[in-house]
Amino acid sequence: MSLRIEALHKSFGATPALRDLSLELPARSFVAILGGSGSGKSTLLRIIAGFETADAGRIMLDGQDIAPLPPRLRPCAMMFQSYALFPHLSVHENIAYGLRRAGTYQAARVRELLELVGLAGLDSRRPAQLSGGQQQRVALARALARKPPLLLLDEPLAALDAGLRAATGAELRRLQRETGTTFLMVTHDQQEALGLADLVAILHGGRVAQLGPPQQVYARPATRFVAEFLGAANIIGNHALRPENIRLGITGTVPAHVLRAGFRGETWLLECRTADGTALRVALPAGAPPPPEGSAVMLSWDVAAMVPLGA
Amino acid sequence: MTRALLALGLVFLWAPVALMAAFAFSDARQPFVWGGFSWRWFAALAGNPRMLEAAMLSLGIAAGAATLAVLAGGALGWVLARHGAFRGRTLFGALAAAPLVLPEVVTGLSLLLLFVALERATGWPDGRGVLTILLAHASLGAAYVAIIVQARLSGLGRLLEDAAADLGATPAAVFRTVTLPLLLPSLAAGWGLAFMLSLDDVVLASFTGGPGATTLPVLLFSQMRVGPTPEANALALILLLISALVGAVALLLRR
Repeated sequence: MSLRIEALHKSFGATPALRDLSLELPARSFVAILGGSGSGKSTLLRIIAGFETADAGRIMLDGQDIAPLPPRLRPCAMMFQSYALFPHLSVHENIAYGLRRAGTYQAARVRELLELVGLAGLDSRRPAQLSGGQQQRVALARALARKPPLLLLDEPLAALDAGLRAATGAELRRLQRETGTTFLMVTHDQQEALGLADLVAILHGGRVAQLGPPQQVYARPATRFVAEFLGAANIIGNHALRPENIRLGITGTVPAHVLRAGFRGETWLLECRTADGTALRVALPAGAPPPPEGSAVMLSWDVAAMVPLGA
Repeated sequence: MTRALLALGLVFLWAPVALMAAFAFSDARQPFVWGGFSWRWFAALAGNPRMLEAAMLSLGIAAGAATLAVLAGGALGWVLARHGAFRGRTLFGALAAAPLVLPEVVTGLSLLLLFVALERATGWPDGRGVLTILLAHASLGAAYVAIIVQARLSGLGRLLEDAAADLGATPAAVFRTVTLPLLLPSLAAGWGLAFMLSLDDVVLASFTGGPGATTLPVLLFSQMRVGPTPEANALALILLLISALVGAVALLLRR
């Protein structure tokens, strides 16, 4: 399965949501679409699923343009942010729903799916009788039932408690590997995208600002937006410099003084001001206490750590 | 203080009903004199063929009108909620809800005029009677059902229908397996409401009924002119219990 999106355009009234967006996903990969609200990420997912129609462009799935097809004839499946489980059906019947429509229902297949997501034996429960995490897994099993080559996930972890999110993310990752399905996940959470996906596409203003492996988009952001969206970044002229790439010591090349120290858990984030008035953020390991506010420090960094930015 | 006010309000609402119910069990001939406990008026009721006939007619009309109201109102509510973007939608929405606030005298008179004009033009309906009352009640009930169904569908949103389509369901299958089952409690509640509206209606039935079709409320009302009897109390109590039962079921289903 390969998905190629070609010059997709969509406007709501006079407001463009997607502007000639093109994107190519390799088969069997886990891809995250990362963007803020209004970036067009949800619209993109709804267009691929078929709930919205694009004004122009093609959605090529294995060489076939699926854009003219209604949702029920598209080979992809969607996992909704609020799960959209049928409240009047049991867990078993929720998962069986797609199989029954296709006429390929087998109770054994449903039980196999329940086992896959770790909910064996909960067949007869109603969705309302399940915890949020269990509902999420039923939704996942239901979407995977017909072995779709492409699974669309709309903010799959957003409705879960923080404690459950990491474990469930790892679970998604395992299921993606085990089933060989291409996962296309939409999220606004940078940690989630960087931590789970093989490829991250950062959406901004209806376009793909950058597409690449997590390490690459983080270390080599293509634009100022990408640099600032994926964690803290210092913008110096036309370059981005990550706070953790700045060294702080008695020796150094740039004199500065500390304005504020903010505790981030794993690190201290120091806000410094250099002699020429430039504000710089510097990350320090949280093991030691930070230099007091107002104290003078010397900063230095490798020229290679400065990433040139495009428009 | 708040308790006293609550009690006052409830007494205001329910004291007349309680009094009426109590005198249904009075042995005296006047319905406002206590003559000791007795079932005699219920027994008299059972032996009164006019009353029983009117009761059966009322129940039949109520059931038929409620069923028709669910079909017509359900379709109307569905169109208003799911095909919302057509021209004149606001107007149609207002038109669907208008019978709720229209004075019943106006509705009754206009229906009567319509039936008379129709009969002149087409020969149908042949006089006024059971059928015309049923249609009048169904038309009022349909407005209520449409409101209930529209509210339920808007509340549900399209999410579950989208999910069903995504899982391969045809539009007909989406309706049958998702929309209809989720709508069923609202349809049942709407049926109950339309049933009760029909069962206690005097105005519409007076306007659109004929000599051969006297519903129970109309009969009760006409008997008041001769003078009330505890028999009427007993009948009213039975009606109250039926209404309460249907209302309670409708309320439970809507939750």
